[in-house]
Amino acid sequence: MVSVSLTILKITLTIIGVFIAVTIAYPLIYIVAQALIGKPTIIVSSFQQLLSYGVTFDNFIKTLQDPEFHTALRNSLIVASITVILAILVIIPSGYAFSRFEFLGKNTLLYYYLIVSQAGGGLGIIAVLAMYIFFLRLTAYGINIIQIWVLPLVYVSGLTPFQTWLIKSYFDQLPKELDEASFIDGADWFTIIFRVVLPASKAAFIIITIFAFMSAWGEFIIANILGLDTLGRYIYSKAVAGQAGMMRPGEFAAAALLYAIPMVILFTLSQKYIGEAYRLGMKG
Amino acid sequence: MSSKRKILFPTRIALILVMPALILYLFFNTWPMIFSIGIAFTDATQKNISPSPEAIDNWENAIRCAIDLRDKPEYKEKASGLVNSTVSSLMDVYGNLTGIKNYIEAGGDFLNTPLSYLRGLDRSVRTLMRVSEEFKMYFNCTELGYPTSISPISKEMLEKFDALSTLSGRLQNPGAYDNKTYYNEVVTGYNITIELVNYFKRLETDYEGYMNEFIASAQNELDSLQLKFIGLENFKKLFYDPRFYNSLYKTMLFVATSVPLKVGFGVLLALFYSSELLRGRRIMRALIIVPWAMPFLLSALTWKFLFIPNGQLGQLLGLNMNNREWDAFLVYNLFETWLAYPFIMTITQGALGGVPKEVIEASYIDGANAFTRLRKVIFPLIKKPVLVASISTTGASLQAFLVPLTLNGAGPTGYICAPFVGCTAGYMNEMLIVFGYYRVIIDQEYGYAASVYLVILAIILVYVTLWLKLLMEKGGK
Repeated sequence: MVSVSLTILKITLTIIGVFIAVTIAYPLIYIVAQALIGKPTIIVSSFQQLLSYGVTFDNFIKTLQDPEFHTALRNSLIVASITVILAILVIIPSGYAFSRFEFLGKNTLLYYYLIVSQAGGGLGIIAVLAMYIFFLRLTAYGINIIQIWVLPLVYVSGLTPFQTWLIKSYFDQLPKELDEASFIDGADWFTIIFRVVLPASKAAFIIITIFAFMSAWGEFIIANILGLDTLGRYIYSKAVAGQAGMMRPGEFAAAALLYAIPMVILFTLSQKYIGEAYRLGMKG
Repeated sequence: MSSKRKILFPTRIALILVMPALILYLFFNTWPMIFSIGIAFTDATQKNISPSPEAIDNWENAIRCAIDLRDKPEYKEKASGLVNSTVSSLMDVYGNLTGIKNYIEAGGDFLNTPLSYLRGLDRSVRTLMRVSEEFKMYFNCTELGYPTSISPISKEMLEKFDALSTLSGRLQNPGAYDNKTYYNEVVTGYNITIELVNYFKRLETDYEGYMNEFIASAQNELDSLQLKFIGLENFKKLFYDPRFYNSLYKTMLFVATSVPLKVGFGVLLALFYSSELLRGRRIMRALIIVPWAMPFLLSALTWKFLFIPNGQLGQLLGLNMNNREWDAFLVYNLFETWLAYPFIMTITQGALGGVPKEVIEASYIDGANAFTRLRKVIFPLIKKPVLVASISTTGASLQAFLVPLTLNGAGPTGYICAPFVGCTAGYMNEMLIVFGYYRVIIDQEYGYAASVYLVILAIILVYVTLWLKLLMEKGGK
């Protein structure tokens, strides 16, 4: 008797669980349908339309042939790659220094980084608005830095506070006797960095790479304010803020899915590292 | 130990390692904020934030040129000569036009307008054109060594010479008209002439005064291209701006509605999906973190398509977020909950890891006791991490930006009223951060915008300070 009612309970709960899970994942199912529908000018309002208009990859093909999409894709790839390289070059050394060295103002700076990294997205938006006005003002003096190469610099500066903490926490975990021993052995800085520090910081590289790539690739507000054509800005300005998305919903659904692919792959690959990163960040 | 550290890890090296990231951060984040404090006290707008150097040169040269024309005796002399002959030719034109006008008004046939008037008009207009050429040549600041596109002599007036010339040409051939239009043309010419006479008479009698007036108005134009310090005006404006109070109200309301939704939903789902009684939990768990795995932009596009009035869910639920204020607000809540509950859920799941599975199971089977067990066993375990996560997600709601912006641009637009300060048109669902953002992006009144976001910044900092204090206290316990 107990086992029968337990089975019924199990089935009921499983049905409810499936229902909730499908409801939550529904937007993903929907946008895939929207990208696959054979008539690119309609917004899908029922899945029967898939049957009547057919399923096709035309929207993806059309998007891939669009020259505007090409330019945006190329820009995004360049910006994201430079962001990753720059982040590795400046944030890892900075995190290392905060972990190992003692210098004047260290604690103040760390505290400052903590506050700004915990303040949330709003502070970031305000900083961006301030930066935009500052850039506009600079053009009054004939200095125009609102150009595509400025984006990686802006992105890395935005990543600095949180990621410095992350890398600092990471190096805090590594035994510092390692570096100290090499110093005492009379090794120079070059040797220490390339033989001792770098081999031990593989995980730091992976964390920074994933974070920097995802934030540069996913960002669209700054690019849109500055009017720099990245893939994110292309989709945002045309389909989310603009009206083109209503005219050609199929193509933009396809474009947004293509845009999402690298981020989803990285997200899946990095589940372990992101969990680790948040744990380290929280601990800091 | 300390001295050993100093030798091993010299400050010099530390600074070299820290500086690049710090400089980037200071230049792109911190410095613009400090710079904004300055901008908040100015009248910065689209026009004067970055005026083209050419525009400034243009006005500066025009002013220098006008000063020369005013002060140097040789210019004065030449100018008065030119003005004299202009005025005398104008009087000629005036005389002839008056003649024609009187002739027609007296009932004369316009087709037989006396040739003497027409010839006289033609002759005087030709003289006028010659003088006008001389004017353009002589009062040309670029020629005088001050390159500018602005002329101290009104361009509008000089263009009237041309208008007069074409008009006179047309009047020579009355056959192409009927009586009324011919008369109207004559009157038009007559009026233009009077305007010109008045203008040049003024120039003749009060040359210096005219130039002074021109210099003053040019100076005004020049000033409007430059930032001016206006004290606390922007802050005063902010405190009389109904949109500001509306954004505060909407933000607080959004915090009050979305935070319980996110936290409640996250905790409930964590409890539910931790049950061993479910089959296929792996797949379900993969599905319920979809909102986390989807890039924000893809989610935003999808939700927009779903919830526009003719979208699938917009139709199904009868929601019109493009026109109805509270429909939009409801969709924001749904979207925010969908986006943020995985965070709460994950934190809760992490905390639940410490609860023996049997306890959870038992609470499901044991109907009557379930609630008690939940409260007595599970709740104390997850309380602290969920509280910390809730405060963190409260910050996200307080700083809601992307959700209203992407779904419908924080619309719809309409009249926004606030008690004591009145009403104004605006975006009805502008949350605090959107309010600051729109002042920059839409209004382009940068001075005002800077004061707006500095005040918002202060509000955020209060929140962060409170949070950090709370965290420290918790950590201390």
